[in-house]
Amino acid sequence: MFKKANFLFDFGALRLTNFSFFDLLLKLSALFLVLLPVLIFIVLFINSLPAIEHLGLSVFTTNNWDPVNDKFGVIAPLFVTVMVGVISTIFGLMISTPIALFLSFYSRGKISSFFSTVIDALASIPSVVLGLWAIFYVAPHIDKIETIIKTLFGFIPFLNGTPSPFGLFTTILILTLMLVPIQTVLIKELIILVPKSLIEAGFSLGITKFEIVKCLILPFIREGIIAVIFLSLARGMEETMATAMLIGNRPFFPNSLFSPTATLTSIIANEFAEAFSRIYLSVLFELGLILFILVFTTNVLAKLLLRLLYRRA
Amino acid sequence: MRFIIDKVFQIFTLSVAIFVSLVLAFILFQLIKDGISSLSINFFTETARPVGSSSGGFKQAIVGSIIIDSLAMVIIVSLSILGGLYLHLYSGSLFAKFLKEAMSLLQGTPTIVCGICVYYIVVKQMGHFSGLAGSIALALVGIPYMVLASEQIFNMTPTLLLEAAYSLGLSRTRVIFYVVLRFAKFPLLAISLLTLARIAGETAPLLFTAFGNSFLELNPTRPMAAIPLQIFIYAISPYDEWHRLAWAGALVLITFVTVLSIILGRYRRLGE
Repeated sequence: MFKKANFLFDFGALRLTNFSFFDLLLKLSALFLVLLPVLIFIVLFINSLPAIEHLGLSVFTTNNWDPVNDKFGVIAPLFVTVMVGVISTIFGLMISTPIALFLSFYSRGKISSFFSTVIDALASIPSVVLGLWAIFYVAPHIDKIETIIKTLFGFIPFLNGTPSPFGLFTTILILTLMLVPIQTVLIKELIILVPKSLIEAGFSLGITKFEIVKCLILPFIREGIIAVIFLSLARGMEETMATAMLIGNRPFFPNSLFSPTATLTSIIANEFAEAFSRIYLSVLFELGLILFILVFTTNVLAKLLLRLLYRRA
Repeated sequence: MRFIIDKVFQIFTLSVAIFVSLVLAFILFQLIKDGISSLSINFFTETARPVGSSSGGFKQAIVGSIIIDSLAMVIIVSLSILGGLYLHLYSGSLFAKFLKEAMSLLQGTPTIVCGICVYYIVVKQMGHFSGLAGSIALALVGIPYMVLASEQIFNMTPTLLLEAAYSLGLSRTRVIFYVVLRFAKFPLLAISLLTLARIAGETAPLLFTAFGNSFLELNPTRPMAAIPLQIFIYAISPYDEWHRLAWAGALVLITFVTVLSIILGRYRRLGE
């Protein structure tokens, strides 16, 4: 009889009729992995219970942030979080859609791969480095742009504030820059899904590339773009470091587009280490819970949309 | 007219692409300019000094990052390979679907939320901040990418090879060890390095877990410094010397991340 000495990991020898240790290990770790998000949710929920009991719904109806007197209202940071996400998503789409079109439709070969590398490099810059760059090279010059916007569009109430280096506008600019690579990659994948025969048919009719983009590609990827919007909205709302470094950390409603304010993430990042009372800490966990649910909902909406789209395609 | 609009639009897309490249070039140029001018031997050999002394470096942060990231990678790689194998072997089962949903849910979890959860689970139980807690928080960020990517890698094993192995009468465990894992060796390595590049720049999960430390610390159960954390602390400080150190740290970090992701650019898509 030959021996199976050449097998180093002889887990098979431990097999009873229908059982192996390795299989058990696999199942246990899969179970553990499935429980991770549940665990996160439970931890957030348990820790926000004191705040929920103490403050109740007043968190969502009042607008004051006064830790000394245990008064917390998140309506302003919640609003700002969503607003920052929405505006930078829209700005990002205005940049990333042309780039995606350029990469997948207008250019090929070396030029295309060069700009793809650019997008990849932009995606790989950590947000803390982007924040550092913005503090020293964007923030000091931002008031000039803000003054221009003010003189041009000052008649709109929200665009008529005192320019300030750190605030909503700076944050939105940097977040836009962070969202562009993600959106570009996603939109590029969508454009690739457009059937080649459709585009060739368009060319054979003698219409221009712009008309193909306008009448064939854009309508075809419309639902996909909505999913991309939700995905990048979630990214924009959860982004922490650049926001915490640039938004100014003043947890009240912004007076204008230029004024400093705060988001859910920036409040957690800046105040967690100095939360002195139990309620204060618990409120910060509740902010985390709200953020988690917010991002979760947007992500699920995006996934559902994408799934519907791919089923049809 | 139609052709003019066409050309204008074409030039518009090109100019937007060039504009974004210029912004990137600006960032990289200013990063390299400010980074190199403040990079010195001291940066690598000295730990943080109080404000006022002109020297001082990032040694504690570099060492801390190496320890925190390698511990995190151990957790990520071991758990993710098991999770990926589960998805590969039991694909189609209800629980595998659950696992996939859980991973995409974890992928969407804000990183700072991972940070405060680990704060409650680990830091509060231990009584103090620790590098280990930082590794666990980073692992929470990295695991979903790696699980989903490793499943795709395992699914790429040629069916012919699998059939041959099974027809020899090997048990499933052995097929995993001798065929699936061996075939996936290099892609797995690439994906792990990409995950490393991804978590190396993460700051938010470290804020309330590793917390930072101005002294060299080799014991992962103590508070530890990390490069991104140190950049953040120095960037928002009011001192010029510290700003210079932050730039040098940023240059080191970005060099590391870019080198990793450019080398492995081919495998990038798998991670997303």
